[in-house]
Amino acid sequence: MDLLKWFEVRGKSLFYISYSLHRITGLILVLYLVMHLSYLTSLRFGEEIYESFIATTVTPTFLIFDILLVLVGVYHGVNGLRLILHEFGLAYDVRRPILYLSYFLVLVLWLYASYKLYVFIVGV
Amino acid sequence: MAEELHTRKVLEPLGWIFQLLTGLLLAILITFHFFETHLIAHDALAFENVITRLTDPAHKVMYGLLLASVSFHAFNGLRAILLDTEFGARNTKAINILIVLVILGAFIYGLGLLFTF
Repeated sequence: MDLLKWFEVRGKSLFYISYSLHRITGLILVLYLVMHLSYLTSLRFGEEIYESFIATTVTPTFLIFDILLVLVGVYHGVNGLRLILHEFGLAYDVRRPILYLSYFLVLVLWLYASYKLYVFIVGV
Repeated sequence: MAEELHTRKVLEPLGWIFQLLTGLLLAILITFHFFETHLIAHDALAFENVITRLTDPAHKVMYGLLLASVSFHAFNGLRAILLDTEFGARNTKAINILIVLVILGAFIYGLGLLFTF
């Protein structure tokens, strides 16, 4: 199957691995979009149903999934912006440093958002 | 660069350009949406606050734009992935039709939710 090639990282450049990760994170986000639209449907059924859904999903137990989802979203977003930058012919000569910078940005934004999420959900 | 070439080669120029433009738009809109719902106020997800946002005209426009962009970007990206397989290369027309229907379905379903309130 063609898709399994994305997981072959031996001997592949960091650019290729970034491409594989971009597609894998994209697929995860498509699944999340479908879940998000389904979850918003609970609003139609009134406050009680919606609040019981929130009481189940916005909890410390689900925090790990939220934090992983944020990593997926931040990676896809930052890597996507890097691709757009190069697509418009910008910073192509320094694409390797830009790639490292994008990974650093992903890490910083993910840690910041995770901390804020932790405070939001656990309420420290 | 591998990632651009793979995706660009299977999409039409217009499909590729709109993928980039909606990507840019989503980076802004999703960051704003995430800040507003998770990072600013503790009660942002409370029922009455969600309804307040959904009934506010400015939010309606923003959510409509977000919905249109994300429906296109997500499923057009999925289309690129599918077309980049041997299966996709053999069934291009069927995949294109199916994805157009899914994009429209997601957008119309989301609009239905948006205009319920």
